Amino acid sequence: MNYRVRKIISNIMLFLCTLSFIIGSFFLFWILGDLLRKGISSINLNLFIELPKPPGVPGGGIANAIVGTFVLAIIASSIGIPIGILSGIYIVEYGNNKISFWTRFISEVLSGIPTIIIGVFVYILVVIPMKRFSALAGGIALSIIMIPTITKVTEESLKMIPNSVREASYALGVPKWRTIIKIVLPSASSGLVTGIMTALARIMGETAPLLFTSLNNSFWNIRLDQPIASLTVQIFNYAMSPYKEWKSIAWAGAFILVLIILILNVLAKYYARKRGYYE
Amino acid sequence: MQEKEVIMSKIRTENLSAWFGSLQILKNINIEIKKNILTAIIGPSGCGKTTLLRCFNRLHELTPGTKIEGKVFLDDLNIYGDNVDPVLIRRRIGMVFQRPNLFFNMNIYENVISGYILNRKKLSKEELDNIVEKSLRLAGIWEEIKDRLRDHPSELSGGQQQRVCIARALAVEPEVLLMDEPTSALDPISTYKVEDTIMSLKNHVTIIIVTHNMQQAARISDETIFMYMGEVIEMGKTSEIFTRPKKKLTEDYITGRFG
Repeated sequence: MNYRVRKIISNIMLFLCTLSFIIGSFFLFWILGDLLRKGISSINLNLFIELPKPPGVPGGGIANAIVGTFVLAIIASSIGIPIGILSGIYIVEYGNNKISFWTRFISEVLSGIPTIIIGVFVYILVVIPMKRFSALAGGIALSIIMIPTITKVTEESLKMIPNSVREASYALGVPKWRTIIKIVLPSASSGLVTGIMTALARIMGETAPLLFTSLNNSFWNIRLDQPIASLTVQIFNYAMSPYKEWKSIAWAGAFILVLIILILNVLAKYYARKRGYYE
Repeated sequence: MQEKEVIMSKIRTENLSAWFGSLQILKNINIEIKKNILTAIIGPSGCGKTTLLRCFNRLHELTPGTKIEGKVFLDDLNIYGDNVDPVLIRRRIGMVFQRPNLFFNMNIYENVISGYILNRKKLSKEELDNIVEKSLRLAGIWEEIKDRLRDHPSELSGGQQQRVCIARALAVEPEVLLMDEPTSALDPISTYKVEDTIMSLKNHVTIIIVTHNMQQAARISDETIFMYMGEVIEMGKTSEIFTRPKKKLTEDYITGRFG
């Protein structure tokens, strides 16, 4: 193949890449633009401090749903992050056996299960025995979605740490477990934080599993055994309703949700920039 | 026992063999390494010299699929004996690796005293300062970096990083210092400085250096061990090995006929 042909192919490929980027970002900016236009006009202070009101009553907010989303994320994180990180550590640091192979395999299968199935699963496992929808059930469902993501990023970040660094620690007479805690994990922290942020952003945008688990709530709730409101389910309900006020609140809610997720993703990118090993 | 004290051996192996999976890397190694002198292990690539070194601080066994047979004595203790904790052995034997491997989650100062931090030895600020200065001086890098101790290690050059690695190993005052081709990744000037450092340490600590650079072995070592295909072919005073080798194979290697 001569230089001219290669150059032409190179240009065609570059054109295709650019085109894909434009198509992808076109929809992204369309969605963001629409949200911004319709969402921002519905945003007001009441949204952040008031509870939902019945249709026809002016005002009303989604304060409980905003708090609810964070409550659910905290429950999910406190279950999902430790399990995910520990699994990731097991796979990388204690791997090389059958259990590690199956841990990785199960984690990969788990990450492919549709989230609505996880919702139904938690419904059967938690909601039915408890005889009510609850924040706890919602958090558990989200944590199951979180585990494989966290496991994967832990695995990837720990693999980035060169083995020679572990050996440097062993050679100083440091036991393996302390090497992991004091050297490997801190060295991989930027990757871990990035992964956790990304996983959080992902679960905060989940709706389907919550419909079966935490359901919704029109009032303030901090009890974990009671249904709890969340932004996504609230958006779903309001957007499906025939009332104009509710629809505009749905737009505002969607805007807030996207903003939260955007901030998480930007933070993730920021942490990813931190200095690592170059080898 | 009496005899051993006369020759002052620091490390002694008895029928040491090592495997990677089914591949035998070391075959019945019987050597003695004398106290407070510098021993070089030379030989062509893949002859097992690095593996031998890594058997001395039980690092070899950390690689999955490896196997070791035989004994290695540190003074009179068989480090492969039952009830011997490899972690405690490694605290007595320092190691410097082929490439600098400073901890990037610590600054330079913390790296030097990492042997204390990581093993939870509480020392006063003053003691730590002294250890850092002493170790960096021993490693011949104090003057160069004394104002940059709080910097991130990646801001040092490769040669500087390697000398900080040496300081880190020396800070815990090991009885033996293992060096695995410590200058192979360095430029000539850094190599020269590291060699200088090694030479100045010679009489304080037992040093075993693996090198594929024969000139380096000839320059700095007191004793030389020549290995080939997992076996020790010849060992003795460096001056004799390099001027009057007893075996044909040794002669061929050091004159550059193979390797």
